[in-house]
Amino acid sequence: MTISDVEVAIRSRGPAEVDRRIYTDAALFEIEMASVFARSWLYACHEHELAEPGDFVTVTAGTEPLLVCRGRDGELRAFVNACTHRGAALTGTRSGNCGNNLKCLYHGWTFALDGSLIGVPYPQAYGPDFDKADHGLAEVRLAVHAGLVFVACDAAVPSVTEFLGEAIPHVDRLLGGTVVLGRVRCEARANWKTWHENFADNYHPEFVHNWVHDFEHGYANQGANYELEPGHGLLEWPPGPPEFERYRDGLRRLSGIDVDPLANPAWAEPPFAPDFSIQQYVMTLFPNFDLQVFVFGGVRVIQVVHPVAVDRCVIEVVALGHVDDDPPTRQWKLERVADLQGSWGKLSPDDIEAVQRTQVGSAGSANHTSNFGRGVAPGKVGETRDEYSLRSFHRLWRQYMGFDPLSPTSNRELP
Amino acid sequence: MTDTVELAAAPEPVPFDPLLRATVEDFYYRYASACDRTDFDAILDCFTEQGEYLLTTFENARGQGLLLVADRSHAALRERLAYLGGYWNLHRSKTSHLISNVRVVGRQGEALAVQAVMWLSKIDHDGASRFHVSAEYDDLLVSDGDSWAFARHSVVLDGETLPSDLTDLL
Repeated sequence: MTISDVEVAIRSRGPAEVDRRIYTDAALFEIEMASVFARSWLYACHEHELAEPGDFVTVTAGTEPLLVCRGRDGELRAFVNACTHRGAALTGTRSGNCGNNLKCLYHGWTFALDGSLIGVPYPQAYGPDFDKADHGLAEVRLAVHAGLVFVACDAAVPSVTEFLGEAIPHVDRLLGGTVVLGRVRCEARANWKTWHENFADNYHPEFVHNWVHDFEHGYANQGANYELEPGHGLLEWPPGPPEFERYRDGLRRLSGIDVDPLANPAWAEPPFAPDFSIQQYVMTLFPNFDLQVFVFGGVRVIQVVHPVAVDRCVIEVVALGHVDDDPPTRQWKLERVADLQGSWGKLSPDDIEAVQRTQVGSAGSANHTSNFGRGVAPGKVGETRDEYSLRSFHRLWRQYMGFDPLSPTSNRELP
Repeated sequence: MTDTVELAAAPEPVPFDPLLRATVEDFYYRYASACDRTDFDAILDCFTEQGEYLLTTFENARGQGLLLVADRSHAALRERLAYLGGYWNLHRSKTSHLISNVRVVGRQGEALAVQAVMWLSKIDHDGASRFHVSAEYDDLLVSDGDSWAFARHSVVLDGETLPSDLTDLL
């Protein structure tokens, strides 16, 4: 199959009908890195992780290695993490403090934290025309919103507020005042889009997760599903009181082990009183950022899915607390917030299994189309199991990839 | 020099005793066998009634102390064993726990402070047996008849990027 065959197939369908080769075609994956990740605002870190001058984190935007640091002037900047001499990465660790400058280990070229080249060993060998001003670090765009640090490699990307669009009030409400408690990464043998789709999907939880089926029984019919322009989504549902007896019955039925969950200290009341009158949320931001907000446990967790290969991704789980947390609440969150997440948690291993099986099945030769058609009423809001949020993502993905059927021609060159 | 995970309170050193270490190693082999046989009763027998199973990564242990798992007491462990016994919708494959480098660090009150290294191999999705994860143990053991039991079994994973299935007890 050539890319043009896949493009024709994608253009011929609406966002509710997704060609599965977008999960398996290696050439499309390479185009995604340039067309989607390089042209989007991507979450890099939380502002408070870079509190002091010299603090840095390294991130990968698509496949572009970046370094984000706080300068001596207090400003945050993002650079391509590559010495302008021979391309060596400037740091060997994911995060830390580099002091007053960034010094390449290879030949000692030294950069100030504003990216300017300030030191070159034995520069006379480059001749009289060598100007350090021509060899500063390649800077990329950086923006901070609600404490989140976003980076964008393409100078033509619109402002972060324009990019976040209708998601902005939800970002402000759900992420304001948050602090990072820790992060963990885990692999998934699946295309990155399957993981992001999983978060925009409130159809699966009662089937994939016995925990949801039993513990949050009764939630499945309630809530709403939102498209947030230009390509984001929001799931909303009430928490309900946890159903411990149903949970106990489910555990016993499926494992043969009689468990009294209420005897588990983890289910004791947290030091803060859960407010079951408010909603629970999952918010998905294009292209790869997801936020979960659960009432019981005061859980706020960011998940960012990083593409590694067409059939492999790394999921970064960022556990959040709040600036107003008192010490007992903070300690409780350090012990509980990650308990449902990742490849170790009570929820997410089921999700990983589901997307990995989707990857396996998508490689099959029969029936190349996946259905994202739930919710047929016009508009951008549907019932909780509808898929306006998923179509929102795929509609924008198609535009970024140049597969928008409304465009007269593809807006990128085929290789 | 690589940082090591430090105990919350410094244990009181004990002189090297090969017989003591042999009994501790024998306990770890019993625990490893119970995990690999998925013998849930035998796993619970390796923990005191209020025994703790804690899981984190090296990065978080040196950071703010985020825990991935904090199961405290048999009730919490039984709940996790129920997930392993079928509440998770995962195919479970054969594991092999290799526990080595056992060091009796000292005594902390009535408990024995012990550190060890664990390697886990697992059958991968293609049927091949492969290395899965490695970790350091930072444990407190209490006497249990002629053997030992975990008062605290603290597992600190070496890697920063974990495998796609980390549901096994480590």
